[in-house]
Amino acid sequence: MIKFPSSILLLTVCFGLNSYVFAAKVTASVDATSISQNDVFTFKIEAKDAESNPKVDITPLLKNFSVVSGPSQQTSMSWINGKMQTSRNLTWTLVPMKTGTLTIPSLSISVGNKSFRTKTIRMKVSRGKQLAEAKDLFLTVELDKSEVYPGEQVTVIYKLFTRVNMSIQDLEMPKFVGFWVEELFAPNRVEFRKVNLKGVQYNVAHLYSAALFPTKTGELFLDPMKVKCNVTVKNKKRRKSIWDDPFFDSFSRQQTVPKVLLTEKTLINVKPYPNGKPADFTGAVGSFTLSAFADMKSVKANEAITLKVKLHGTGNISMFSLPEFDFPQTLEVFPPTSTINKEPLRDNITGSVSWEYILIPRQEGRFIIPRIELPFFDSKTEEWDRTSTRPIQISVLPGETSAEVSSGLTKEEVVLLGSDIRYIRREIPQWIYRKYSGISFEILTLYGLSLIFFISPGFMKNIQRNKGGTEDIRRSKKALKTAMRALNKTQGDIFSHASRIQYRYLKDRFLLSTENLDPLTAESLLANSIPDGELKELVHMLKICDSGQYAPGKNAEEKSLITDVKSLLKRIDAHA
Amino acid sequence: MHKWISVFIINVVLLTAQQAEIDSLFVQANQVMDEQSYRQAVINYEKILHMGIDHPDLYYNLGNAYYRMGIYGQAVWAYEKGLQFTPRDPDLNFNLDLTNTRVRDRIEVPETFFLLEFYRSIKNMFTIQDAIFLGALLLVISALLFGLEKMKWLRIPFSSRIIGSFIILSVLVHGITLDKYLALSEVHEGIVVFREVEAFSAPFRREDAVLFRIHEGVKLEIKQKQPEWVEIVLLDGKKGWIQSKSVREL
Repeated sequence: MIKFPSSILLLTVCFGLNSYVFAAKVTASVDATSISQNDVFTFKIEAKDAESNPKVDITPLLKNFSVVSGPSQQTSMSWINGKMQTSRNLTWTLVPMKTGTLTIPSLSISVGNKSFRTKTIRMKVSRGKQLAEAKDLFLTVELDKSEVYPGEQVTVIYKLFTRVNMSIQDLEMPKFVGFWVEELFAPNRVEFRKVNLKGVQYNVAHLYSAALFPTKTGELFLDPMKVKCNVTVKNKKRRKSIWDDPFFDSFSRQQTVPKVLLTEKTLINVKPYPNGKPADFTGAVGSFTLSAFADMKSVKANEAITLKVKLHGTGNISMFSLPEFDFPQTLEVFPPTSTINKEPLRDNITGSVSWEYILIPRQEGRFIIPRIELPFFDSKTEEWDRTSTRPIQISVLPGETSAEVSSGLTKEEVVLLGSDIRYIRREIPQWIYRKYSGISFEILTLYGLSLIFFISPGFMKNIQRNKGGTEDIRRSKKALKTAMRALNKTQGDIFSHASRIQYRYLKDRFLLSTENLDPLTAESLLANSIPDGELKELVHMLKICDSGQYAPGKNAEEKSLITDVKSLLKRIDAHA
Repeated sequence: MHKWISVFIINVVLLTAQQAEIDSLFVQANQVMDEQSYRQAVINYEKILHMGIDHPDLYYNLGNAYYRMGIYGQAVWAYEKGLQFTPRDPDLNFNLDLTNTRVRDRIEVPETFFLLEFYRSIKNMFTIQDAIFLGALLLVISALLFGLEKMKWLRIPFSSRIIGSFIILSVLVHGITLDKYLALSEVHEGIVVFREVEAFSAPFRREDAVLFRIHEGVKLEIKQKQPEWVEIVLLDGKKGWIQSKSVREL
């Protein structure tokens, strides 16, 4: 009873140590270190006593080997001598891609959070054994030419030759680096034909063919094509036994072996173009013809024309574009749509590309769609060539409505677009000095003149009035004298005579303009210029004269009248 | 009168001193235009301008030289400047129109009342000198008629109406002249001479304050000036600040 606990203790210690001391151990191994080129081998990474599956990055392997299948995972547990062993495996089926001595480099493997490194493994890959087998099963690559110019077509054909029972598992197309690839033939199902090659019957499958157009110069390598297949072989290793039955023999002695077939690396030499490359070369190689036609030769302004430019020929038709060309500026051009038609079932890529331009003339008149040219390199004659369309003349009739011209130019401006500026003037002009340019002398003269014209009539009137005034004054100064003289000469009716003389005197003396004076008007007119006493006397005298004219017989006053008038006029004159 | 005499004397002195130099510069510039060395031609023409000389032909040739160099902003400036002297010059107008087709910006001028448009086109057909001359001429005619009529040396029917209409015409023309004069003295126009100019919302550079971009050859109005910046108004009414060296004032 006492020993029992100790044995349990021992057991636990043992187990504990087990899991602790014999911690994970990782190894890498291969099943064969000496193989032939087309043989596959197994690469195994084994992690013993690991708690989780190992993880590994096998990219360093892929330089020399190619993965046929894998990785596959496997976990096993075993009890050996009372110890539990677990092992977790990762296996790949690999095929070498080269011959000679290859190394599987040291890989870093992580298990849980620990990492391990494996040892490097050396492998010998011979080709001796392969040669014998290769006659039964091989891939070929055929090129129609090995020296080309950039853009020139190279046709590549991959074929599989076999004399053994086999099935294709996987086809891996090569990557054509440095080429533009047009697939010519890629069957969905591989079909075999019987072909006699140097007296040997082969089953031949056409696997793939493509048209390659190199895009750069220099030596370009085609990567090998890789075909994974399963080959049925007789198992020679099995020892003959008495149990062998001829009937079952065919089944039991056969075995499928995975094989990887590779083509050889192929070199294509891409030569640079010969001299004389046109400036507008856009990369067309082959032989082409360019044609253009418009759907209408005569349209109204603002109606659309379709211009079709068609390129037909053999060569790298989808690899280049038309060189830039200019339409007349009065045409509105919409970006073209292009369609490519390839003629199928030809070894050389042949077809046509057509571009459709929609043109809308914005102005009436005639214009010419210019010649469109495409330079190309003829790979057969190895010479530069060019193809061009004919210029197309289009006449545009006046449109229904004149739409606005695009780009915001007015109609007048569009007319101007084609023309050039007018030339300079050479004659030396009369320079204008910036400092002294003001109102010119001529203008000032004009203003002066107009001022004179406006004022002059006023002046003239004044002068005339002044002239008239002096005459009046002279007359008014003379008025008394003339009156006296006239009074001395009495004639006819004395009253009317005196009256006339008096009125005349008043008119002249006081510059009265009234034609017909009578005593009352005279009184009112002269109220300011003659003193009151004389004015009353004058009015009285005038009344006497007036009444004397029409009342004859008043001779008493007749004699004194003249002297009275004389003295009165004298007094008025003195006072005025 | 005194001023005129002094001006005359100065003119004579200047003419003798400078005329020969200016003439030779001009001839030389025209010669190199033929040889297609437009840079030298531009230098010469600008030199003449710097000497305080104006002439529409000078601006015309300068504009041509700039056009040939592909400097369309300066070409527009020169033609516009020339048109200030001879607004009806067909060659100047033609070349300006042609150069304007090369200007990248199309500024839509807002539509105005047609009478206003008409008035503007009339106004732009004359220089201020022309307008003053025309006004003065009309005034002289009306004054002459007035004088003759008052002196009773002229006897035509409706004379007062004829005189009246002449006076009204003269007043109108003087009004246009005054309008032009005020526009000249108050409105400053300029042409963008830099390839591309960014207009900012304030007189300093800030990338997020870019209002719009204009290109060389655009005519604009200068509202305010600061040492480095000017405030501009485009024909369509857009306002912004641009660097003053990117505009050449008309």
